[in-house]
Amino acid sequence: MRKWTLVVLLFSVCCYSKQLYIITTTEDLRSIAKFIGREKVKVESLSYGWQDPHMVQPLPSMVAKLAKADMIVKVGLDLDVWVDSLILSSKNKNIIYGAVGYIDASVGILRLEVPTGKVDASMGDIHVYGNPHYWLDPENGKIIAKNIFSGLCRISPSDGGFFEKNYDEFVVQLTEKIEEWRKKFKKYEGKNFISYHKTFSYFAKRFNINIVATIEPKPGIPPSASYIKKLIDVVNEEKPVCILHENFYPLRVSKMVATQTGKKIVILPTSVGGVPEVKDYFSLFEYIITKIVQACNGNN
Amino acid sequence: MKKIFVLLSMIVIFIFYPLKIFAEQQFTEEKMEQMTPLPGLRSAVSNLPDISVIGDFYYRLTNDKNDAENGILIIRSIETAFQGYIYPDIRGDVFLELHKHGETIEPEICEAKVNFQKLFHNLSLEVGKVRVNFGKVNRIHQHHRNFYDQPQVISSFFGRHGLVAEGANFSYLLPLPIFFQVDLGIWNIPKGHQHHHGEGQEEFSLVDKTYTNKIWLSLPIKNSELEVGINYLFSHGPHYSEHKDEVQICGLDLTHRSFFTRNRSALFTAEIFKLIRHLEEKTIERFGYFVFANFRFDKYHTVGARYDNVENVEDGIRGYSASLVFSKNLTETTCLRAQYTYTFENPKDTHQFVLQLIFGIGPHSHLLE
Repeated sequence: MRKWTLVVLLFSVCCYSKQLYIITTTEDLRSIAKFIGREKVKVESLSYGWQDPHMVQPLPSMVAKLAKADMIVKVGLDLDVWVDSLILSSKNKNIIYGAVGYIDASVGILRLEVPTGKVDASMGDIHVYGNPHYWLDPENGKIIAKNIFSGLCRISPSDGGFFEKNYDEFVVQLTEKIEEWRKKFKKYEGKNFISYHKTFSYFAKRFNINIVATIEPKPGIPPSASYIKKLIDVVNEEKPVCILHENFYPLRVSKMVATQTGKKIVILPTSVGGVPEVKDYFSLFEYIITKIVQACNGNN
Repeated sequence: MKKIFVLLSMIVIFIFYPLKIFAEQQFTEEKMEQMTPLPGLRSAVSNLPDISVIGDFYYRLTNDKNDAENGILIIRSIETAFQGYIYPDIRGDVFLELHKHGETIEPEICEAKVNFQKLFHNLSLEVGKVRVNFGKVNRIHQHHRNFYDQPQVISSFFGRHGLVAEGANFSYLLPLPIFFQVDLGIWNIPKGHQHHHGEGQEEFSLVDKTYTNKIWLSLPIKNSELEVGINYLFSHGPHYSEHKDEVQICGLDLTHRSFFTRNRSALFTAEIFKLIRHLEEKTIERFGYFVFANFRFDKYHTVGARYDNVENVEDGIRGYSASLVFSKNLTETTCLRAQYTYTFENPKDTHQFVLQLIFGIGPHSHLLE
């Protein structure tokens, strides 16, 4: 009996392959990386889905995680610059800029709102490489997945077939879902909306809606009284369906505009984990679209 | 009357900023062909480092008749930073500062350091003139701190500029599941840059050979994080050549950060130091601490309170102060701040009200602080 136990133990040890440890800067990237890596990876996000991704505080505990990581997946486009100093502090050569374990998920994305000409703070908190909220276009989810898949194949080539199968499955599922979401949202194509920040630009382009104004006058700049007055005029003129409010921004001004114009506010997460119901990349869009549709139908 | 007018003007700017006077930016669509360059690699095409400027101005009103800065707009410092890579895994950071030194504005190398990010295993080395990683606040540049002034214990034990030294610091990140880093520094603090409080009253500062050690660990607890730093320093006092005064400072720093939804977060920081100074004829011990609590109630606004308690190194007289701080953060490097400080002093307590403006132009970054 003892011999058999020993044989089983040895066999288990031989079969055991170490999980790859992947760190992502956001929950959305974590969700996609987990889909592709499945049981062969352990994925952790450095930020929570309910946090403003522009405002994540670098913490020493993140350094400890990065020090052990086989791969880092970043949003890029300057959204998560806070992670760069942490990568340096982690002294992990596998994940430094240019290493095989350094994945910038934005490579290959068609960037929107790329500023032309000189960029400075007079334009607000503009990202010089363009609007970084690209994961809110589900088609971009495929590019993100491709970047993660390529990275996983580089750090663990022997599992390439496994990752490829999962990547293909992700693309198929997402393609089906996008079609479904399009149908669900078709009624609102060409309609006007306003949002707090320029978070929904990619989402709007994909689902063919117009973000006609933002509560912020310029990215990252809080609205002044005179701007709110102008905004109310814009709302009355453009007649947006509702106000899309990212759930980490202050609600006061959105409420004020809604009260004065009779528009509804739809409070939305912008990332996986932004609300408890949104557990993965698919349910993020499911939630956003359902909430907007419900609000527009008067059910919210 | 003039002071009140200036103060009211600043309050009006404080409340109603920002004004919208700029034209709309033009945008285009473009495919991302490469990875987003890191800070320090932004100007790769022209081989320039990241260049930034940080300005720090304040306006102070106080009932202290001896305060020469009362009712005057003070340009405390203009910091210019040059940051970039000089070799793979080797980063250079130079911070040059023009700062107020009595009546004049003088140039100074605030920091100039080369960071060898990976010597071997998890060991890194920082060489140059640096703000020493001792305690929590000392390493942080003034414009990044949550209050306009330096905590009294740091000014009293390390001098008005804090503990800034020339030398080398080795950091070793232990391969543990939690963040656990050990720092060992060998420094020289040149004599010569000293401030005087008044006639014959020289500010205490450390000089010559200095050795520092910090054990820094961090424990994540659900949506919060607790950082603990244990610090030890051995150095010489300002009169070492005459009195052979040796100084030891040990300290403990605690920082707890909690994160909530809607950009809300809370910060609690406390630092406690004990200074032991061995003179030829006696040994003196001094003790000081500060506690600071800060709450960010939305993306832009924070409110905080600080309490300072420290014994003066030279005469042992204990000083206390309490401050209330309100900050409006326009961007990561630009901030408007109002701070009220009540200082318990004999024979008369002082009230101080400060409006501060910190502004940043260009890409500016610091390693984990």
